[in-house]
Amino acid sequence: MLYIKDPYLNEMRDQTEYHIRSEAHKARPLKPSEVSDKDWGNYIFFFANTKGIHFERWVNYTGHRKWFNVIRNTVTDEILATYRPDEDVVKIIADLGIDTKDIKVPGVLEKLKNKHV
Amino acid sequence: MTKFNIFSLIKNSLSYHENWEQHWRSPEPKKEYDVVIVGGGGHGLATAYYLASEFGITNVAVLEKGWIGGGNTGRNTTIIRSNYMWNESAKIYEHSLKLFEGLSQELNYNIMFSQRGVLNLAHNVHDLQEMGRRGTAIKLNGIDTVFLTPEQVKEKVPLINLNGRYPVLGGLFQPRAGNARHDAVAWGYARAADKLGVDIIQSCEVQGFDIKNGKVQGVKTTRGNIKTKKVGVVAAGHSSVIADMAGFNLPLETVPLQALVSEPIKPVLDTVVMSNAVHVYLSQSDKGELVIGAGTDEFVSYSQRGSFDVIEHIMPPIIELFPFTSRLRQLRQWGGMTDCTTDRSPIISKTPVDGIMINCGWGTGGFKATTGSGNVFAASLAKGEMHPIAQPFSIDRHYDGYLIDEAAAAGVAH
Repeated sequence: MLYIKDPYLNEMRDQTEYHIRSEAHKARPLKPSEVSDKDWGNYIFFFANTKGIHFERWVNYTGHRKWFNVIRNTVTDEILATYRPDEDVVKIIADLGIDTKDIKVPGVLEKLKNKHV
Repeated sequence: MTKFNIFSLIKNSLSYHENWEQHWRSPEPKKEYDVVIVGGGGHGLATAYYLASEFGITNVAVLEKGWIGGGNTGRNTTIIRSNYMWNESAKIYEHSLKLFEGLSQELNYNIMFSQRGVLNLAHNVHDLQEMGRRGTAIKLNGIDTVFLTPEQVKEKVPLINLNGRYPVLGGLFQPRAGNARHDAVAWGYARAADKLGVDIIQSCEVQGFDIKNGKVQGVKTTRGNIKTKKVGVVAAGHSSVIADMAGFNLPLETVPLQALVSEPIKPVLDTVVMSNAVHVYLSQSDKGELVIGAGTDEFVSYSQRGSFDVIEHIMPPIIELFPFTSRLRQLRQWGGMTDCTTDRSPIISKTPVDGIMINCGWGTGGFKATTGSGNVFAASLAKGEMHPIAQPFSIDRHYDGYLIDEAAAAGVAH
Protein backbone atom coordinates (compact mmCIF):
# COMPACT_ATOMS: atom_id res chain seq x y z
CA MET A 1 0.00 0.00 0.00
CA LEU A 2 1.26 3.43 -0.91
CA TYR A 3 1.75 6.51 1.21
CA ILE A 4 1.33 9.50 -1.05
CA LYS A 5 2.51 13.06 -0.62
CA ASP A 6 -0.49 15.09 -1.77
CA PRO A 7 0.85 18.08 -3.73
CA TYR A 8 -2.20 20.21 -2.84
CA LEU A 9 -2.25 19.45 0.90
CA ASN A 10 1.53 19.13 0.99
CA GLU A 11 1.30 16.25 3.45
CA MET A 12 1.55 12.46 3.44
CA ARG A 13 -1.82 10.72 3.00
CA ASP A 14 -3.00 7.12 2.73
CA GLN A 15 -3.47 5.58 -0.73
CA THR A 16 -7.07 4.58 0.10
CA GLU A 17 -8.08 8.25 -0.12
CA TYR A 18 -7.12 8.23 -3.80
CA HIS A 19 -7.89 6.54 -7.07
CA ILE A 20 -5.47 6.10 -9.92
CA ARG A 21 -6.63 6.78 -13.43
CA SER A 22 -3.89 5.37 -15.62
CA GLU A 23 -1.04 6.96 -17.55
CA ALA A 24 -0.28 10.67 -17.18
CA HIS A 25 0.45 13.25 -19.88
CA LYS A 26 -1.84 11.53 -22.39
CA ALA A 27 -3.34 14.41 -24.34
CA ARG A 28 -6.88 13.90 -25.58
CA PRO A 29 -7.08 14.68 -29.31
CA LEU A 30 -8.55 18.17 -29.70
CA LYS A 31 -10.98 17.12 -32.45
CA PRO A 32 -11.89 13.46 -31.84
CA SER A 33 -14.17 13.32 -34.89
CA GLU A 34 -11.22 14.12 -37.16
CA VAL A 35 -8.84 11.58 -35.64
CA SER A 36 -8.22 8.25 -37.44
CA ASP A 37 -9.41 5.00 -35.84
CA LYS A 38 -5.78 4.07 -35.31
CA ASP A 39 -4.94 7.28 -33.41
CA TRP A 40 -8.16 7.14 -31.40
CA GLY A 41 -7.53 3.48 -30.48
CA ASN A 42 -3.99 4.35 -29.44
CA TYR A 43 -5.26 7.20 -27.28
CA ILE A 44 -7.96 5.16 -25.53
CA PHE A 45 -6.50 1.67 -25.14
CA PHE A 46 -2.70 1.61 -25.48
CA PHE A 47 -0.35 2.20 -22.58
CA ALA A 48 3.38 2.39 -22.00
CA ASN A 49 2.79 0.09 -19.01
CA THR A 50 6.35 0.85 -17.94
CA LYS A 51 8.41 -1.52 -15.85
CA GLY A 52 10.46 1.05 -13.96
CA ILE A 53 9.93 4.81 -13.97
CA HIS A 54 6.22 5.38 -14.63
CA PHE A 55 4.08 8.52 -14.81
CA GLU A 56 0.48 8.24 -13.70
CA ARG A 57 -2.58 10.31 -12.81
CA TRP A 58 -4.14 10.12 -9.37
CA VAL A 59 -7.23 11.82 -7.98
CA ASN A 60 -8.25 12.45 -4.40
CA TYR A 61 -11.84 11.27 -4.04
CA THR A 62 -12.48 11.59 -0.32
CA GLY A 63 -11.58 15.26 0.08
CA HIS A 64 -10.53 17.97 -2.35
CA ARG A 65 -11.15 15.80 -5.46
CA LYS A 66 -8.27 17.34 -7.39
CA TRP A 67 -6.04 15.58 -9.90
CA PHE A 68 -2.27 15.30 -9.77
CA ASN A 69 0.55 13.24 -11.27
CA VAL A 70 2.84 10.73 -9.62
CA ILE A 71 6.27 9.47 -10.73
CA ARG A 72 6.67 5.98 -9.36
CA ASN A 73 9.04 3.06 -9.81
CA THR A 74 6.69 0.17 -10.70
CA VAL A 75 9.24 -2.46 -9.67
CA THR A 76 9.75 -1.23 -6.11
CA ASP A 77 6.49 0.80 -5.85
CA GLU A 78 8.64 3.67 -4.55
CA ILE A 79 7.12 7.10 -5.24
CA LEU A 80 9.77 9.49 -6.59
CA ALA A 81 7.66 12.64 -6.88
CA THR A 82 4.11 13.96 -6.92
CA TYR A 83 3.21 17.15 -8.76
CA ARG A 84 0.27 19.23 -9.91
CA PRO A 85 -0.61 19.16 -13.63
CA ASP A 86 0.52 22.80 -13.98
CA GLU A 87 4.03 22.05 -12.74
CA ASP A 88 6.90 21.57 -15.18
CA VAL A 89 7.52 17.83 -15.50
CA VAL A 90 10.74 18.34 -17.45
CA LYS A 91 12.22 20.30 -14.56
CA ILE A 92 11.06 17.69 -12.05
CA ILE A 93 12.71 14.93 -14.10
CA ALA A 94 15.96 16.96 -14.23
CA ASP A 95 15.83 17.68 -10.48
CA LEU A 96 15.34 13.98 -9.70
CA GLY A 97 18.22 13.07 -12.02
CA ILE A 98 16.14 10.49 -13.92
CA ASP A 99 17.92 9.14 -16.99
CA THR A 100 15.59 10.05 -19.87
CA LYS A 101 16.47 6.73 -21.55
CA ASP A 102 14.43 5.01 -18.81
CA ILE A 103 11.26 6.92 -19.68
CA LYS A 104 8.68 5.12 -21.83
CA VAL A 105 5.52 7.20 -21.37
CA PRO A 106 4.85 8.85 -24.79
CA GLY A 107 3.37 12.07 -23.37
CA VAL A 108 6.46 12.70 -21.26
CA LEU A 109 8.83 11.88 -24.13
CA GLU A 110 6.92 14.44 -26.22
CA LYS A 111 7.41 17.08 -23.54
CA LEU A 112 11.13 16.30 -23.26
CA LYS A 113 11.53 16.51 -27.03
CA ASN A 114 9.76 19.87 -27.27
CA LYS A 115 11.94 21.22 -24.48
CA HIS A 116 15.14 20.41 -26.34
CA VAL A 117 13.98 21.94 -29.65
CA MET B 1 11.13 -41.30 -20.11
CA THR B 2 9.23 -43.35 -17.56
CA LYS B 3 5.56 -43.79 -18.30
CA PHE B 4 3.59 -43.17 -15.15
CA ASN B 5 1.40 -46.14 -14.21
CA ILE B 6 0.78 -48.47 -11.31
CA PHE B 7 3.79 -50.63 -12.20
CA SER B 8 6.29 -47.76 -12.34
CA LEU B 9 4.85 -46.53 -9.06
CA ILE B 10 5.36 -49.90 -7.35
CA LYS B 11 8.83 -50.28 -8.86
CA ASN B 12 9.93 -46.88 -7.62
CA SER B 13 8.36 -47.33 -4.20
CA LEU B 14 10.79 -50.23 -3.68
CA SER B 15 13.68 -47.75 -3.95
CA TYR B 16 11.91 -45.18 -1.74
CA HIS B 17 11.07 -42.97 -4.77
CA GLU B 18 14.69 -41.88 -4.98
CA ASN B 19 15.31 -43.11 -8.52
CA TRP B 20 12.65 -41.30 -10.56
CA GLU B 21 14.36 -39.80 -13.57
CA GLN B 22 14.20 -36.08 -14.38
CA HIS B 23 10.97 -35.07 -16.09
CA TRP B 24 12.63 -32.81 -18.64
CA ARG B 25 16.14 -31.99 -19.81
CA SER B 26 17.98 -28.71 -19.22
CA PRO B 27 19.60 -28.30 -22.64
CA GLU B 28 21.95 -25.59 -23.85
CA PRO B 29 20.22 -23.35 -26.39
CA LYS B 30 20.87 -24.29 -30.02
CA LYS B 31 21.94 -21.73 -32.65
CA GLU B 32 18.61 -21.82 -34.45
CA TYR B 33 15.02 -22.92 -33.88
CA ASP B 34 11.93 -23.10 -36.10
CA VAL B 35 9.87 -21.46 -33.36
CA VAL B 36 10.94 -19.66 -30.18
CA ILE B 37 8.38 -19.27 -27.40
CA VAL B 38 9.12 -16.42 -25.00
CA GLY B 39 7.72 -17.34 -21.59
CA GLY B 40 7.69 -20.72 -19.85
CA GLY B 41 4.39 -20.47 -18.05
CA GLY B 42 1.44 -22.77 -18.65
CA HIS B 43 0.36 -21.01 -21.85
CA GLY B 44 3.87 -21.03 -23.34
CA LEU B 45 4.52 -24.67 -22.47
CA ALA B 46 1.10 -25.68 -23.83
CA THR B 47 1.89 -23.80 -27.05
CA ALA B 48 5.18 -25.71 -27.40
CA TYR B 49 3.50 -29.02 -26.66
CA TYR B 50 0.77 -28.56 -29.29
CA LEU B 51 3.30 -27.31 -31.86
CA ALA B 52 5.10 -30.62 -31.45
CA SER B 53 2.16 -32.96 -30.96
CA GLU B 54 -0.36 -31.56 -33.47
CA PHE B 55 1.86 -29.93 -36.07
CA GLY B 56 5.06 -31.98 -35.89
CA ILE B 57 7.17 -28.86 -35.27
CA THR B 58 9.65 -30.12 -32.71
CA ASN B 59 12.60 -27.77 -33.25
CA VAL B 60 11.11 -25.42 -30.66
CA ALA B 61 12.63 -23.57 -27.72
CA VAL B 62 10.73 -22.27 -24.70
CA LEU B 63 12.75 -19.44 -23.12
CA GLU B 64 11.98 -18.72 -19.48
CA LYS B 65 13.58 -15.93 -17.47
CA GLY B 66 13.09 -17.69 -14.13
CA TRP B 67 11.82 -21.23 -13.73
CA ILE B 68 8.85 -22.75 -15.54
CA GLY B 69 5.46 -22.17 -13.96
CA GLY B 70 6.98 -19.71 -11.46
CA GLY B 71 4.87 -16.74 -12.50
CA ASN B 72 1.11 -16.50 -12.68
CA THR B 73 0.79 -20.22 -13.45
CA GLY B 74 1.85 -20.98 -9.91
CA ARG B 75 0.08 -18.03 -8.34
CA ASN B 76 -3.57 -18.35 -9.37
CA THR B 77 -6.56 -19.85 -7.57
CA THR B 78 -6.73 -22.75 -10.09
CA ILE B 79 -10.35 -22.21 -11.14
CA ILE B 80 -11.42 -23.63 -14.50
CA ARG B 81 -14.79 -22.74 -16.06
CA SER B 82 -16.24 -21.73 -19.40
CA ASN B 83 -19.41 -19.83 -18.43
CA TYR B 84 -18.66 -16.66 -20.36
CA MET B 85 -21.30 -14.54 -22.01
CA TRP B 86 -19.98 -13.58 -25.45
CA ASN B 87 -19.81 -16.10 -28.28
CA GLU B 88 -16.11 -15.46 -28.92
CA SER B 89 -15.24 -16.10 -25.26
CA ALA B 90 -17.52 -19.13 -25.05
CA LYS B 91 -15.65 -20.73 -27.95
CA ILE B 92 -12.16 -20.34 -26.54
CA TYR B 93 -12.98 -21.11 -22.90
CA GLU B 94 -15.14 -24.13 -23.78
CA HIS B 95 -12.39 -25.37 -26.12
CA SER B 96 -10.04 -25.08 -23.12
CA LEU B 97 -12.38 -26.85 -20.73
CA LYS B 98 -12.81 -29.76 -23.15
CA LEU B 99 -9.03 -30.09 -23.48
CA PHE B 100 -8.71 -30.06 -19.66
CA GLU B 101 -11.18 -32.95 -19.48
CA GLY B 102 -8.78 -35.24 -21.34
CA LEU B 103 -5.49 -33.70 -20.29
CA SER B 104 -4.33 -36.11 -17.56
CA GLN B 105 -4.64 -39.04 -19.99
CA GLU B 106 -3.14 -37.18 -22.92
CA LEU B 107 -0.07 -36.03 -20.99
CA ASN B 108 0.20 -39.16 -18.84
CA TYR B 109 0.43 -36.75 -15.91
CA ASN B 110 -2.16 -36.35 -13.18
CA ILE B 111 -3.24 -32.71 -13.26
CA MET B 112 -5.79 -33.47 -10.50
CA PHE B 113 -8.64 -31.99 -12.51
CA SER B 114 -11.67 -32.00 -10.24
CA GLN B 115 -14.98 -31.04 -11.86
CA ARG B 116 -16.58 -29.91 -8.63
CA GLY B 117 -18.51 -27.10 -10.30
CA VAL B 118 -18.42 -23.34 -9.96
CA LEU B 119 -21.26 -21.50 -8.24
CA ASN B 120 -21.89 -17.81 -8.86
CA LEU B 121 -24.05 -16.03 -6.28
CA ALA B 122 -26.66 -13.32 -6.80
CA HIS B 123 -27.20 -10.90 -3.92
CA ASN B 124 -29.63 -8.41 -5.42
CA VAL B 125 -32.16 -7.96 -8.20
CA HIS B 126 -29.53 -6.63 -10.57
CA ASP B 127 -27.34 -9.69 -9.99
CA LEU B 128 -30.33 -11.94 -10.76
CA GLN B 129 -31.05 -10.09 -13.99
CA GLU B 130 -27.41 -10.14 -15.06
CA MET B 131 -27.28 -13.84 -14.28
CA GLY B 132 -30.45 -14.46 -16.25
CA ARG B 133 -28.98 -12.73 -19.25
CA ARG B 134 -25.54 -14.31 -19.01
CA GLY B 135 -26.87 -17.75 -18.09
CA THR B 136 -29.23 -17.77 -21.07
CA ALA B 137 -26.45 -16.71 -23.44
CA ILE B 138 -24.24 -19.48 -22.04
CA LYS B 139 -27.01 -22.06 -22.49
CA LEU B 140 -27.56 -20.95 -26.09
CA ASN B 141 -23.87 -21.64 -26.71
CA GLY B 142 -24.41 -25.21 -25.55
CA ILE B 143 -22.41 -24.83 -22.34
CA ASP B 144 -23.76 -26.52 -19.23
CA THR B 145 -25.30 -24.09 -16.78
CA VAL B 146 -27.98 -24.36 -14.11
CA PHE B 147 -29.97 -21.67 -12.29
CA LEU B 148 -30.27 -22.36 -8.57
CA THR B 149 -32.75 -21.12 -5.98
CA PRO B 150 -31.45 -20.03 -2.55
CA GLU B 151 -32.58 -23.39 -1.15
CA GLN B 152 -30.60 -25.26 -3.80
CA VAL B 153 -27.57 -23.08 -3.02
CA LYS B 154 -27.90 -23.99 0.66
CA GLU B 155 -28.14 -27.66 -0.24
CA LYS B 156 -24.93 -27.47 -2.26
CA VAL B 157 -23.05 -25.29 0.25
CA PRO B 158 -24.57 -26.00 3.68
CA LEU B 159 -22.26 -23.63 5.58
CA ILE B 160 -23.34 -20.54 3.64
CA ASN B 161 -25.29 -17.77 5.35
CA LEU B 162 -28.22 -16.94 3.05
CA ASN B 163 -29.65 -14.06 5.07
CA GLY B 164 -26.71 -11.91 6.10
CA ARG B 165 -25.56 -8.51 5.01
CA TYR B 166 -25.35 -9.99 1.50
CA PRO B 167 -28.52 -12.08 1.12
CA VAL B 168 -28.32 -14.90 -1.43
CA LEU B 169 -31.19 -14.61 -3.91
CA GLY B 170 -30.02 -17.25 -6.35
CA GLY B 171 -27.10 -18.83 -8.10
CA LEU B 172 -25.68 -19.80 -11.46
CA PHE B 173 -23.89 -23.13 -11.47
CA GLN B 174 -21.62 -24.75 -14.03
CA PRO B 175 -21.31 -28.45 -13.10
CA ARG B 176 -18.36 -29.23 -15.45
CA ALA B 177 -16.24 -26.41 -14.06
CA GLY B 178 -13.78 -26.96 -11.21
CA ASN B 179 -10.13 -26.91 -10.18
CA ALA B 180 -6.88 -28.46 -11.30
CA ARG B 181 -3.42 -28.53 -9.79
CA HIS B 182 -1.78 -25.52 -11.45
CA ASP B 183 1.84 -26.67 -11.12
CA ALA B 184 0.94 -30.06 -12.53
CA VAL B 185 -0.48 -28.42 -15.66
CA ALA B 186 2.83 -26.64 -16.27
CA TRP B 187 4.94 -29.68 -15.40
CA GLY B 188 2.75 -32.06 -17.39
CA TYR B 189 3.03 -29.92 -20.52
CA ALA B 190 6.77 -29.43 -19.96
CA ARG B 191 7.40 -33.15 -19.61
CA ALA B 192 5.29 -34.04 -22.64
CA ALA B 193 6.80 -31.28 -24.79
CA ASP B 194 10.34 -32.25 -23.77
CA LYS B 195 9.62 -35.85 -24.71
CA LEU B 196 8.67 -34.68 -28.22
CA GLY B 197 11.98 -32.81 -28.57
CA VAL B 198 11.13 -29.29 -27.38
CA ASP B 199 14.02 -27.53 -25.59
CA ILE B 200 12.88 -25.93 -22.33
CA ILE B 201 15.54 -23.37 -21.46
CA GLN B 202 15.22 -21.88 -17.98
CA SER B 203 17.15 -18.95 -16.49
CA CYS B 204 17.26 -17.46 -19.98
CA GLU B 205 16.02 -13.90 -20.24
CA VAL B 206 15.10 -12.36 -23.58
CA GLN B 207 16.84 -8.98 -23.93
CA GLY B 208 15.94 -7.96 -27.45
CA PHE B 209 15.08 -8.98 -30.97
CA ASP B 210 17.01 -8.98 -34.21
CA ILE B 211 14.56 -7.34 -36.62
CA LYS B 212 15.44 -6.54 -40.27
CA ASN B 213 13.01 -4.80 -42.65
CA GLY B 214 10.13 -5.42 -40.25
CA LYS B 215 10.87 -9.16 -40.07
CA VAL B 216 12.16 -11.00 -37.05
CA GLN B 217 15.51 -12.76 -37.57
CA GLY B 218 16.37 -13.81 -34.06
CA VAL B 219 16.19 -13.34 -30.32
CA LYS B 220 18.90 -11.90 -28.07
CA THR B 221 19.08 -13.60 -24.71
CA THR B 222 21.26 -13.77 -21.62
CA ARG B 223 22.46 -17.13 -22.97
CA GLY B 224 23.40 -15.92 -26.41
CA ASN B 225 21.71 -15.05 -29.67
CA ILE B 226 19.23 -17.50 -31.16
CA LYS B 227 18.17 -17.39 -34.80
CA THR B 228 14.52 -17.92 -35.65
CA LYS B 229 11.87 -16.76 -38.12
CA LYS B 230 8.94 -17.31 -35.77
CA VAL B 231 8.51 -16.01 -32.23
CA GLY B 232 5.50 -16.54 -29.98
CA VAL B 233 5.45 -14.10 -27.05
CA VAL B 234 3.53 -15.53 -24.08
CA ALA B 235 4.94 -13.37 -21.32
CA ALA B 236 1.81 -12.42 -19.31
CA GLY B 237 2.64 -9.51 -16.99
CA HIS B 238 5.86 -8.74 -18.87
CA SER B 239 4.25 -8.65 -22.33
CA SER B 240 4.58 -4.86 -22.58
CA VAL B 241 8.29 -5.11 -21.71
CA ILE B 242 8.88 -7.68 -24.47
CA ALA B 243 6.76 -5.68 -26.94
CA ASP B 244 8.82 -2.58 -26.14
CA MET B 245 11.98 -4.50 -27.18
CA ALA B 246 10.31 -5.24 -30.52
CA GLY B 247 9.26 -1.60 -30.89
CA PHE B 248 5.51 -1.59 -30.36
CA ASN B 249 2.99 -0.85 -27.60
CA LEU B 250 0.21 -3.07 -26.30
CA PRO B 251 -3.28 -2.26 -24.98
CA LEU B 252 -2.31 -3.60 -21.56
CA GLU B 253 -1.74 -2.51 -17.99
CA THR B 254 0.01 -4.82 -15.56
CA VAL B 255 -1.60 -4.82 -12.13
CA PRO B 256 -1.02 -7.03 -9.08
CA LEU B 257 -3.67 -9.60 -8.20
CA GLN B 258 -3.59 -11.29 -4.82
CA ALA B 259 -4.68 -14.57 -3.37
CA LEU B 260 -4.42 -16.13 0.05
CA VAL B 261 -4.90 -19.49 1.72
CA SER B 262 -6.08 -20.37 5.20
CA GLU B 263 -4.82 -23.01 7.56
CA PRO B 264 -5.97 -26.50 6.48
CA ILE B 265 -9.30 -27.67 7.88
CA LYS B 266 -11.63 -30.64 7.40
CA PRO B 267 -13.68 -30.71 4.17
CA VAL B 268 -16.28 -27.92 4.30
CA LEU B 269 -16.70 -26.88 0.69
CA ASP B 270 -16.84 -29.19 -2.33
CA THR B 271 -17.46 -26.62 -5.02
CA VAL B 272 -16.04 -23.23 -6.02
CA VAL B 273 -18.09 -20.26 -4.78
CA MET B 274 -17.90 -16.88 -6.48
CA SER B 275 -19.70 -13.68 -5.77
CA ASN B 276 -19.37 -10.84 -8.24
CA ALA B 277 -21.08 -8.24 -6.11
CA VAL B 278 -18.93 -8.61 -3.00
CA HIS B 279 -15.84 -9.69 -4.90
CA VAL B 280 -15.23 -13.04 -3.27
CA TYR B 281 -14.17 -16.34 -4.74
CA LEU B 282 -13.13 -19.29 -2.72
CA SER B 283 -12.66 -23.04 -2.87
CA GLN B 284 -11.06 -25.70 -0.71
CA SER B 285 -7.85 -27.30 -1.85
CA ASP B 286 -7.13 -31.01 -1.53
CA LYS B 287 -4.85 -30.14 1.38
CA GLY B 288 -7.84 -28.59 3.17
CA GLU B 289 -6.85 -24.94 2.86
CA LEU B 290 -9.46 -22.42 1.82
CA VAL B 291 -8.10 -20.76 -1.31
CA ILE B 292 -9.32 -17.18 -1.48
CA GLY B 293 -8.99 -14.86 -4.43
CA ALA B 294 -8.67 -11.19 -3.62
CA GLY B 295 -8.86 -8.26 -6.00
CA THR B 296 -6.38 -6.34 -8.08
CA ASP B 297 -4.68 -3.14 -7.13
CA GLU B 298 -5.59 -0.20 -9.32
CA PHE B 299 -2.05 0.81 -10.15
CA VAL B 300 0.55 -0.63 -12.52
CA SER B 301 3.10 -2.68 -10.63
CA TYR B 302 5.69 -5.33 -11.45
CA SER B 303 6.45 -5.95 -7.79
CA GLN B 304 4.52 -9.27 -7.50
CA ARG B 305 3.04 -7.83 -4.32
CA GLY B 306 -0.42 -6.47 -3.60
CA SER B 307 -1.71 -3.91 -1.14
CA PHE B 308 -3.10 -4.80 2.24
CA ASP B 309 -6.28 -2.74 1.77
CA VAL B 310 -7.34 -5.16 -0.98
CA ILE B 311 -7.25 -8.05 1.49
CA GLU B 312 -9.01 -5.91 4.09
CA HIS B 313 -11.72 -5.25 1.52
CA ILE B 314 -12.55 -8.92 0.84
CA MET B 315 -12.38 -10.44 4.32
CA PRO B 316 -15.63 -8.95 5.77
CA PRO B 317 -17.86 -10.31 2.97
CA ILE B 318 -16.27 -13.76 3.30
CA ILE B 319 -16.99 -13.80 7.02
CA GLU B 320 -20.51 -12.55 6.33
CA LEU B 321 -21.17 -15.29 3.75
CA PHE B 322 -19.32 -18.01 5.66
CA PRO B 323 -19.46 -17.11 9.37
CA PHE B 324 -17.36 -20.17 10.29
CA THR B 325 -14.33 -18.49 8.70
CA SER B 326 -14.26 -15.69 11.26
CA ARG B 327 -11.66 -17.44 13.42
CA LEU B 328 -9.81 -19.10 10.59
CA ARG B 329 -6.19 -18.01 10.31
CA GLN B 330 -4.82 -17.04 6.93
CA LEU B 331 -1.48 -18.72 6.38
CA ARG B 332 -0.05 -17.35 3.18
CA GLN B 333 -0.69 -14.44 0.84
CA TRP B 334 0.94 -13.64 -2.47
CA GLY B 335 0.57 -11.58 -5.62
CA GLY B 336 0.97 -12.10 -9.34
CA MET B 337 1.24 -9.58 -12.15
CA THR B 338 -1.78 -9.69 -14.39
CA ASP B 339 -1.76 -8.16 -17.87
CA CYS B 340 -5.20 -6.57 -18.15
CA THR B 341 -6.91 -5.30 -21.29
CA THR B 342 -9.70 -2.77 -21.09
CA ASP B 343 -12.35 -5.28 -22.24
CA ARG B 344 -10.93 -8.05 -20.02
CA SER B 345 -10.48 -10.35 -23.03
CA PRO B 346 -7.13 -11.74 -24.17
CA ILE B 347 -5.03 -10.78 -27.16
CA ILE B 348 -3.99 -13.59 -29.50
CA SER B 349 -2.69 -11.77 -32.47
CA LYS B 350 -0.15 -10.92 -35.10
CA THR B 351 1.95 -7.87 -34.27
CA PRO B 352 3.48 -5.01 -36.27
CA VAL B 353 6.64 -7.16 -36.58
CA ASP B 354 6.44 -9.91 -39.18
CA GLY B 355 7.08 -13.28 -37.55
CA ILE B 356 6.25 -12.22 -33.99
CA MET B 357 2.87 -13.30 -32.67
CA ILE B 358 1.62 -12.46 -29.22
CA ASN B 359 -0.63 -14.22 -26.75
CA CYS B 360 -1.33 -12.03 -23.72
CA GLY B 361 -3.96 -9.99 -21.93
CA TRP B 362 -5.38 -12.96 -20.04
CA GLY B 363 -5.44 -10.66 -17.05
CA THR B 364 -6.94 -12.11 -13.90
CA GLY B 365 -8.31 -15.30 -15.44
CA GLY B 366 -5.78 -17.00 -17.67
CA PHE B 367 -5.25 -20.32 -15.92
CA LYS B 368 -8.56 -21.76 -17.09
CA ALA B 369 -7.54 -21.14 -20.71
CA THR B 370 -4.03 -22.62 -20.52
CA THR B 371 -5.01 -25.55 -22.74
CA GLY B 372 -7.11 -23.79 -25.38
CA SER B 373 -4.86 -20.74 -25.53
CA GLY B 374 -1.80 -22.90 -26.18
CA ASN B 375 -3.72 -25.01 -28.67
CA VAL B 376 -4.99 -22.19 -30.90
CA PHE B 377 -1.75 -20.21 -30.54
CA ALA B 378 0.26 -23.24 -31.68
CA ALA B 379 -2.03 -23.59 -34.70
CA SER B 380 -1.59 -19.90 -35.51
CA LEU B 381 2.21 -20.08 -35.22
CA ALA B 382 2.38 -23.27 -37.29
CA LYS B 383 0.25 -21.93 -40.15
CA GLY B 384 1.23 -18.27 -40.00
CA GLU B 385 -2.46 -17.35 -39.91
CA MET B 386 -4.60 -16.89 -36.84
CA HIS B 387 -6.74 -19.89 -35.84
CA PRO B 388 -10.50 -19.14 -36.30
CA ILE B 389 -11.09 -19.21 -32.52
CA ALA B 390 -8.22 -16.72 -32.04
CA GLN B 391 -9.21 -14.31 -34.80
CA PRO B 392 -11.65 -12.17 -32.77
CA PHE B 393 -8.91 -11.61 -30.16
CA SER B 394 -6.71 -9.59 -32.50
CA ILE B 395 -4.99 -6.40 -31.32
CA ASP B 396 -6.96 -4.68 -34.10
CA ARG B 397 -10.19 -4.86 -32.12
CA HIS B 398 -8.90 -1.82 -30.24
CA TYR B 399 -8.97 0.12 -33.51
CA ASP B 400 -12.15 -1.15 -35.18
CA GLY B 401 -14.17 -1.23 -31.98
CA TYR B 402 -15.15 -4.92 -31.98
CA LEU B 403 -14.33 -5.32 -28.30
CA ILE B 404 -15.26 -8.50 -26.46
CA ASP B 405 -16.40 -6.86 -23.29
CA GLU B 406 -16.31 -9.60 -20.68
CA ALA B 407 -17.31 -8.18 -17.34
CA ALA B 408 -17.57 -11.83 -16.32
CA ALA B 409 -13.94 -12.48 -17.11
CA ALA B 410 -12.67 -12.72 -13.58
CA GLY B 411 -16.05 -13.62 -12.15
CA VAL B 412 -15.96 -10.36 -10.24
CA ALA B 413 -17.45 -6.93 -10.67
CA HIS B 414 -15.21 -4.58 -12.59
